[in-house]
Amino acid sequence: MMKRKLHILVLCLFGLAYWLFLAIGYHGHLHAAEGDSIFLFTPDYAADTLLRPGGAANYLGDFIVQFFHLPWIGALLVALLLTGLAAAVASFRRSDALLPLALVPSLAYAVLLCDAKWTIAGLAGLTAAVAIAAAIARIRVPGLRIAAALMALPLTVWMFLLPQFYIYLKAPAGLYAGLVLLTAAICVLLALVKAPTPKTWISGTAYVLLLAVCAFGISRKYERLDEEIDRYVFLVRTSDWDGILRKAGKEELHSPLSTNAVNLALEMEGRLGEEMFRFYQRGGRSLINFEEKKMSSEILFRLGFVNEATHLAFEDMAANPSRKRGVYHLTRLARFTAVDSSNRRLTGKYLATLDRTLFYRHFNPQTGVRPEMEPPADFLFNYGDFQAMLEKLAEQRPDNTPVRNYLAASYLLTKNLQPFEDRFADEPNPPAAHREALQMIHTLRDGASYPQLQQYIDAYGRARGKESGMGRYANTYWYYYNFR
Amino acid sequence: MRKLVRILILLLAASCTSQEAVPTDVLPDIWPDYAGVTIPRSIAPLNFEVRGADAVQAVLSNGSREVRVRGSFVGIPLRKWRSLTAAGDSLTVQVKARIDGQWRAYLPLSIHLSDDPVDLSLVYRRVDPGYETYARMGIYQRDLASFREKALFENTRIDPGCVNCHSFAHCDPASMQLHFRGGKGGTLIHSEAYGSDIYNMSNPLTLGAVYPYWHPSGRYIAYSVNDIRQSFHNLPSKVLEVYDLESDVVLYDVETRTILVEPLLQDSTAFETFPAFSADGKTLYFCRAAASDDFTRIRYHLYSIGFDPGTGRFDDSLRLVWDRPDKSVSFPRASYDGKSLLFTVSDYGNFSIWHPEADLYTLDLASGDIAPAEALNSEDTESYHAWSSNSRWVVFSSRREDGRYTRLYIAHCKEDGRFDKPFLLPQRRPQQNTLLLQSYNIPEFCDGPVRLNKKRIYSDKRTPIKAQKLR
Repeated sequence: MMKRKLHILVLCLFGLAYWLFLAIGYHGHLHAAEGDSIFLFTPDYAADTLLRPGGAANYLGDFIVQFFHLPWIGALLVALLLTGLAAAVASFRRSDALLPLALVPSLAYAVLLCDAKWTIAGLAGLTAAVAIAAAIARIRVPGLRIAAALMALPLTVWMFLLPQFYIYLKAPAGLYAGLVLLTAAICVLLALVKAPTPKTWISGTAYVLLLAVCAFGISRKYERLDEEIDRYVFLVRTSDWDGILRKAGKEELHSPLSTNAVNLALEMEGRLGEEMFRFYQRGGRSLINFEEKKMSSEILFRLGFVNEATHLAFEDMAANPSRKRGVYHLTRLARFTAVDSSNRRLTGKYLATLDRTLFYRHFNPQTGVRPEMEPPADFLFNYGDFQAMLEKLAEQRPDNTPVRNYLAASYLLTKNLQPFEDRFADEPNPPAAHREALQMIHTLRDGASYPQLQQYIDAYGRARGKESGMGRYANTYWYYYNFR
Repeated sequence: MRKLVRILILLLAASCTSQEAVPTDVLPDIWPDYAGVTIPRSIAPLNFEVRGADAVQAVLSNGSREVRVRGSFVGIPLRKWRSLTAAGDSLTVQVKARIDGQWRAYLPLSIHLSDDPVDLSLVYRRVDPGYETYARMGIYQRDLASFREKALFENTRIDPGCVNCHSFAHCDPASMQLHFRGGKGGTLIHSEAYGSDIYNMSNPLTLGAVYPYWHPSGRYIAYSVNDIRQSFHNLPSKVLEVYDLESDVVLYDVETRTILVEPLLQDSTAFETFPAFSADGKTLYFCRAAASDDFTRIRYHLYSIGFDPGTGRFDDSLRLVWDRPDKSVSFPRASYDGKSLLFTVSDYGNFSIWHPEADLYTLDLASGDIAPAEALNSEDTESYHAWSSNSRWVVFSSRREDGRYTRLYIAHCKEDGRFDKPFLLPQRRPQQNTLLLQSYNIPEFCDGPVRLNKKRIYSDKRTPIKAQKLR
């Protein structure tokens, strides 16, 4: 009885710890998973999902993932699934001797879930399959039990144990199969072995070891950089500009995508020219990276490249590894297409789908972008020359402030100072970065003198061109120009 | 308790009846718009909804039999629908709808029944109306008499997977071709007469094979060979441009497994594309444009060339069939009865699905008269189309519903070559047309079940073909 209480205690502690880990340490990942997924309350969606291999698991998985919209609830559901799996495995035991083994599949899945390729559908399917097996094992009439097992086995495999195989053709399918077999082996072992109960300290040590291995695995699998990017993507998705700048103010930026988000937030707050060099910048990629379509589509959209933003949003949806049209894909397309009233029916189509979800049924596609920001004359978009695209749109739409500011930032980041001067020399109240760049141009070319710049030049001379010792100028364009 | 039950019953009765329906003098605003359409007797039930209504009642009658339906939309049971369409020459549909809590009775609408049979099924691709990335797509066969849709092939097993350009000889699955792109690319050519295999269509004389059209004999397939590119517009009214840097037309002999190259169809100063044989197989229609680097200036004109199926040789001259300097032609399709030719006309280029101005035109092959197929066209794109095996029906793709996601419409072609009002391919639930985030692509009538050897497709083995110049 003591062992059982210990097992329940460990299980609760594990569930609680994993819940807190997901909700606090991995909520960016949860939001990303939710955005890429969708659960529709329609019979067609149910039929289309359930009638495929692993469909029941995928259906359950999608149902749970929709709650990642509220990370505390979503994380709780995952923690409950993991503890449920452990409880279902434990229900096979013939004695309490090997009870710690019942935790192994849950701990393993807890580690694997840190990898985005491992789906909640797989966990839900495995838990459901073990629960079904446990229910069948409880049938007392042997003939009935065998008949039920024979009938349930192929159905359970087809409905619950093929999700990873169906969605991902290569990566974790073999490993998932291994995990399923391991779980089955543990269930069989627990059901067969009847040994004397070991001393409490032995069981306790086993639990501690298992939990330590799990914690170590999570620490190895945890993708800090991806989590940072996911959090910034979520903040951009929700237009939480203040949140982005607060986050960036607290911690270093580890990815150009994080810098993209910060620059967009600065622009949306009207502070790009004033404060961009307060944050780490490096070249044109600090503004946009077309390889990552979520962030780049949001940036293009807010600059007025609505067609191209829609294109990237669409590509992002098409490239979704799960091949689903996730809620973020649809909300984004609804927002992007809503800019032009001629797209009313198309926007309505996306909204009609979102109306069948739990959390987006009254989604309002607020755009914040006016048709007057878009190009009035056609040109083909060239990913290879973003600066030229900004120049074209800035020429066609001189009142498009975001494009004008991004163009200035692009010139500064690429140190392309001549066109910067040509376009921005006559600004009435230039922001700090522009002012510093213009002062530098005038000083280098005309020998003009500006006290602060002179101080910087003196310090630069004293430091003999080395970065160390120039820290007090780290927020200036001069510093960027010399050291980045 | 009794009082409560009584109140509940009264409430239920009130919600289920429409005795206080206010008569109106307008037709109901139904979607899909099936008012006045002409349908084959074998078509699946034309289920519809009334816009803005939360409850609908309909009485359908063919004059001798009535069917009553009620619900949030009009979903007609298949057996009852069959009993209605089996007799009479039209259906009358009397609709009542509850909108904002008020029942309204509308003027009856008609659906005309045609005795011209339609083929058993449509084969189409369902694909994201997208740009570059291959999302989930597949080739499906839809039974026209019901809502059954069977996946013939989905790209979940090929990576990166694109499947396209399924094509039949005269709607007959006994002769079929299908391309697979990507790592295990190849072309399935299935011919009950000449054998089936997966071929590598690369050959020393041409770039491969793209848009196909079967010769009515089933021995030849005309292909265009295209070097395709796409670019992205920035204007809100334009999305995407797909264009060729190079294109020619070639002939594939299914019997000898040889690409036959006719120099007249390989002009380096011109783009030739979208070949299609006439009903008798003695003429090949195709689109031809002067080559240009500026795709907005490329306008394809309709050409033809004589063909001798016995020798597999073409005439030694091209014939200009239609030439409008401000318009561009794509997808010529001759009816199988030899009476007319249907084609798509847009302002420029050949990838008309991305051109909202694209419309369908008909050419009367006896008189040579050409005119827009007014009954088929809308404010938005009409593009790919195909004839039924008896040439009494056409299926065509249109973006009229939302401007982006292509849907299929079927129209009856009368004896005089004019078309009746088309109808949207019926679905079990009308909402499916809205909620499906895929386009229907390359619809082809097909008069029997298609069977694909998927194992062979998944295998790596691809049979090489030969190539030969005709002169």
